[in-house]
Amino acid sequence: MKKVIDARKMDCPKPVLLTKKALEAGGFSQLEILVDNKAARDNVISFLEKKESPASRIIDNDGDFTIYLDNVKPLPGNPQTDIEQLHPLSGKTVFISSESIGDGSEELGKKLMKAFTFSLNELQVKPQCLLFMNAGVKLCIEKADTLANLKKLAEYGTEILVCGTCLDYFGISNKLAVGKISNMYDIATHLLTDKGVIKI
Amino acid sequence: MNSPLVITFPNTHQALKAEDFFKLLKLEFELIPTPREISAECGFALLVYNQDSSTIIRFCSEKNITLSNIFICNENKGVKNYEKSY
Repeated sequence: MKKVIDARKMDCPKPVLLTKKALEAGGFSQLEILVDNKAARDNVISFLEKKESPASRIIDNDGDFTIYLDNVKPLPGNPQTDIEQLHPLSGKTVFISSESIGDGSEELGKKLMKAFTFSLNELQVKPQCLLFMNAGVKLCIEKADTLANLKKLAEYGTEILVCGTCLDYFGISNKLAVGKISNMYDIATHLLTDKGVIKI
Repeated sequence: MNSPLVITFPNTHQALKAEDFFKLLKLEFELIPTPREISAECGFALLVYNQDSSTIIRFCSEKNITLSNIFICNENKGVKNYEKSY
């Protein structure tokens, strides 16, 4: 028996969740998953690989993709599996408007900030987006000791937006080494529309 | 090449003192939050690359820096494990 999952027009991680749910439910020997973007395609493929049921073939039809899975192996249900495990970006945005965390000691605050950026890479769940304003932009420039950690997050898919006005104010626009120069409108849009915003 | 070492300290001041000294020595290292798997007394630890435990112990004693423990950090398929070496 064949099952078809139409996950077109669905945002991540929904295609992966539907695939997982279908495999757990079982009752079919072949599976076809339809998606309409590369991110969803890659996420589904890597999920199948993780579950040791790699895709049999993938057909690209003008930007729509069909992922075929022959000889479906049933997947044991795992109640602990959650969205975070399947999809490494948490949907949370972190707004950073200072070089240091908290008040009291600037020296300690800077060390805490560095340790914070390090720990973001160590955690399985990554922030969706990091927004940098005011002196926070100094964390994103050449030779900043947070740079390597932020670059790793960017590679992981975290969006990094850096306030252009702030870079200009500090005279460091030409030193930006990670992230995209952004403006107040984009940053305000993120603050108002993202699933969760944390200011540190 | 040696596996990275995680060095823990009894308090934050010792960790920061070691950080300053290691910077002077131009060691390859970073200040990190102490990994949960280790859970030592102090929140900061130093992750040091390309060094061995005995050298680190010698450096610390030269500057009267008190360290708690040294762990060898091995990574296998993305999972880190920490083996106590001091």
